[in-house]
Amino acid sequence: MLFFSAFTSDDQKAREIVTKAETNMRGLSSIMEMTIQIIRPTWTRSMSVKTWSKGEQYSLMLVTAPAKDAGTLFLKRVREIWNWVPSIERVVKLPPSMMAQSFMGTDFTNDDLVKASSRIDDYAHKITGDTILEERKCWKIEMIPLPEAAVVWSKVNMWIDQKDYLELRIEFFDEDNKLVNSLQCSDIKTIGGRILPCKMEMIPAGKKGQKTVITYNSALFNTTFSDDFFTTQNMKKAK
Amino acid sequence: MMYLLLAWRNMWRSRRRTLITISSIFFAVLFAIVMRVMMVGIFDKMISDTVSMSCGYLQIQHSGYWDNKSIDSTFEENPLLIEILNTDKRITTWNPHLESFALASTGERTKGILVTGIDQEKENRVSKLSEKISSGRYLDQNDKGILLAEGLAAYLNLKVNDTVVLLGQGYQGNTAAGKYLVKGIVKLPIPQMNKSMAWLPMQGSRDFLSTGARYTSFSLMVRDRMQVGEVKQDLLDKIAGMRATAGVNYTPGSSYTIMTWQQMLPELDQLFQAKMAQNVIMSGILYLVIAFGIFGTILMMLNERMHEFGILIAIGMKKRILAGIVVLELILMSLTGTLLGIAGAFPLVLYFRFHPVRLGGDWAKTAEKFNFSPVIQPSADLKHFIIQGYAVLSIAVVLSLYALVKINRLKAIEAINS
Amino acid sequence: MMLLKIAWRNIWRNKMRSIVVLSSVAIGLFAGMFMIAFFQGLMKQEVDNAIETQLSHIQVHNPVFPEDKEVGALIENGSGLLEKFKQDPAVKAASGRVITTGMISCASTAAGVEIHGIVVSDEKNISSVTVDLTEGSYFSRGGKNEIVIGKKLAGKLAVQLHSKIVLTIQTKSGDLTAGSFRVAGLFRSRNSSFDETTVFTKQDDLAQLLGTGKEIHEIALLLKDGKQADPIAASYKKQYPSLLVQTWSEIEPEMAMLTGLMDQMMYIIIGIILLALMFGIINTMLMAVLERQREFGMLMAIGMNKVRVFFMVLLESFMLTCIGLPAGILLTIVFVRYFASRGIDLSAFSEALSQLGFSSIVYPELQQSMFLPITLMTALSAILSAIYPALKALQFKPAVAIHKI
Repeated sequence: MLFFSAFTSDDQKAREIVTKAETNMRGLSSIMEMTIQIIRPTWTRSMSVKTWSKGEQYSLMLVTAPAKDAGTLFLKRVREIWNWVPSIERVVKLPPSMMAQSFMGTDFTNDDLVKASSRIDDYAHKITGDTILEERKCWKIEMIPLPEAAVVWSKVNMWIDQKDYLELRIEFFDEDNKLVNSLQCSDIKTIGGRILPCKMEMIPAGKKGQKTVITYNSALFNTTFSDDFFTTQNMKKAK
Repeated sequence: MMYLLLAWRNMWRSRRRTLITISSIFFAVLFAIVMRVMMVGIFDKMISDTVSMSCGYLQIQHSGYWDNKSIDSTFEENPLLIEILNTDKRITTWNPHLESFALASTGERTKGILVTGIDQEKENRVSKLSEKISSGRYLDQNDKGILLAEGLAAYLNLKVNDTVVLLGQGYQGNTAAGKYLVKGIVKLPIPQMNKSMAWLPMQGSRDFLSTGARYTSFSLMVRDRMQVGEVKQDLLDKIAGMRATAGVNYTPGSSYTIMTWQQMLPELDQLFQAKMAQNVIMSGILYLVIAFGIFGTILMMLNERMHEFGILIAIGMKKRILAGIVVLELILMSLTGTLLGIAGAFPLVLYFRFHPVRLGGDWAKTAEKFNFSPVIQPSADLKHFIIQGYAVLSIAVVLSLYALVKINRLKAIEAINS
Repeated sequence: MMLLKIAWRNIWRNKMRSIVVLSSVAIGLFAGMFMIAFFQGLMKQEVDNAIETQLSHIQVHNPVFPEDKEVGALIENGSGLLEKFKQDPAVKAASGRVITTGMISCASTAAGVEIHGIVVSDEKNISSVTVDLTEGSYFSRGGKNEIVIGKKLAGKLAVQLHSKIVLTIQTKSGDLTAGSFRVAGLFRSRNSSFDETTVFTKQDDLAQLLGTGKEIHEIALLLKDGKQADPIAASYKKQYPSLLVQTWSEIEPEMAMLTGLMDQMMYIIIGIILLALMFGIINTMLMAVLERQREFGMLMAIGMNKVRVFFMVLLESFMLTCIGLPAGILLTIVFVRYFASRGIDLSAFSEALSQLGFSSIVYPELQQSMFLPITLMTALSAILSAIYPALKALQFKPAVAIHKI
């Protein structure tokens, strides 16, 4: 289904909404502190992480707790990821074969961090309704990947809040139209001067008692970084 | 009864004749047994060489491990299970592994590898890993070092006493990271394996993966390959029994699967099945040759006794009875030949078991590079002796029935004059 | 001369006996030859299978390539070289491939694979995968970004025909890139690990993602005479010293090892069959000699000396062998021809095999070069077998022999 030449004004609106929501979430540059909680049926693990990001392309992540993992760093430059582990004192670049592996044991993959596909350009968007989520009125937008797009999903549903253009919920479907993953955001408050949902839960469907929860604890926006900050040489100096 | 006596007496009237007939059966049985036992020996070796270097005849795993080799699919150390394995006489060794995929890196180069935590003594018993060391030395129990496969070491440009870094996904979300001194380099015959394997002592692997006392698999080696199915069933029953009487020692959350080598190495099984089918054809051809040999002997024997038969018929013996006695003689001789053949094959096969046939030529040199000893060692399973003996006996008995035909067609006058 | 005539007449005096010995020799020869034909057919089946699905007779690479399958390790002037090979009279077919490793992913799972970018028309001449499809087609629809994967891999990823998958690979310049492909066909070969780890796309599609243009990583050659692989490869090695030229046995030495094992086994089996033949003949002839006691006794009584009796018996055997051998050869030719066209279906002998669903048909074949050695060996066995019985014939005391009943 090519929507290139047949944009209805509704579809155009859908695309605009998504564009606005995406650029809103990414921000320009930020320093954030968050907690990542991995929940499984038989165990739970918590990590504290500090991230520096410049746009979508560059980011540096430092694990600050627990003590065993403290000092571990991840550097992302465009589509590449490097990993520094203090106990081995080595910077290792993640090869393509590791990209589908889970990131630090969470329900996100390394590939998710790198996110080669763009929610704006790789999909055709359509508003399919209105709902209330987190006490806010949201658009429900159905996104179908374009035929050439390198996207594994056959459909993505996104709920975007109509007031602040926050992505409150995303559902990912496979080709049999089965739900595979859902991302649910909540706890909307002002942080670092912006309004953001401060709790994100990635819930794989069909796996009972399993999810990953990311909680934003603090944030600083529009700080300036030079590109040099995001290099393997510099990464070890991060604190 | 009297016929039996007659048959017996007849046999010994011409000792030569009888001995010749018996010996034709004797040799037939001997050859049939030797060929079968050699073929089976080759198959057995093919399978045992392959499984001992890879997965074992049976493998105990956490359920779901085989399809999704995640480190979270491990099972705990369970003294009850270990005791069950130790007391089963059919199992010769059980070899524990804690393995995972990891990145091996030396700074310039990184490669995905399989790193296996081993009980170095048990592992050596099964796969003779220490004999494959090409430089450096084998691991100790409390070693802090690592063994690398030759191809892997070459790719990463590492030699003994260099350091390699491993990075991977640990248990329950922990990061697995460690620096290791290369203690030894191992040369494996199969290039794929040679390029991507590394070994740590069990404790080293546990530390790397933060698992504590857990395993990804126990590989089991059995005494007799044919018992694999029943050992699997027995173990499953005993494990179920273990759970039923869950006491202080049983650790919940571990549910086990047992896989057979056929399930883990379907290609090998396929190859093996094909070889068995080929064996049927080859045995068939041998039986053909044997049958002709026996038939020739029987035919000649009947020919030689034509005169005797003619006279007997002429003086009034019924053809039916004569034929019956002759067939009985032949059966007795076949039976004797078969039993002697089985008995005679025994020392022969035993000799070859202790002095296996050495194969030579260029091929042998290549084989040795593969750590595949170029010898053929026959199987000593009595079952084959008996089956082959039975097969030849059946052939002989069927051929003996020809005597009925011949005697029936006999014309007394002609016979007497032959 | 006299001896010859006597021996000849002796043979036809007792037709039964002669026919039995004759047929033993014929059957012995037939057995030996058929066994070899069977083995040859067997090896060919196993080797040919591997050659047709993955290995081909000869493969050419950039020397750096096999180590890590780097995208940059291309064959210098690959397309030109490919054309040259296609023109080479010894080459039956040549196919150039772009090869890289990467991840294949669908919504729920991902797996590491080796991706082969092929040119459909060339590949069809070289690889049997192109016809081993269980579902779908080998790029016959001509669409863009189609992919053919193994049935086993499809099961692992839980995808089917027409499903969409994403391939993630590293380009020539080192960047990570991804492309989406539709499953156009599912193949199944005998090697299930090959099925699980190899996927095929059209060369243009893959090259576009990789940024390799018209260059290739691998040239696979199928020769007109597969047995010439070694010498032909040797000549290529000299011609192109900067490239890595390998025969299938160098690429997969395990395969060569297995066929070597078969060779060795064959000799042992033939040995056993010939031994069985010998003993069969010895016994038959011993019995015959016993039967002819009166005759020998008579001959010796009228003055034939022992040496002559001995040679007479041997000559008889020799003549019978001479008649039996051609009969055996005829038998062999007939049966081998028959089975060579129909094939022997092994799965009839093994329930497990038939369940696997592969046709395990062996086509026996016999090389001309085998005829002579086996015939000679059989002849030798037959004649040697006659020695002992002939000696036995001399042991009869004439007086006793004449009175034997």
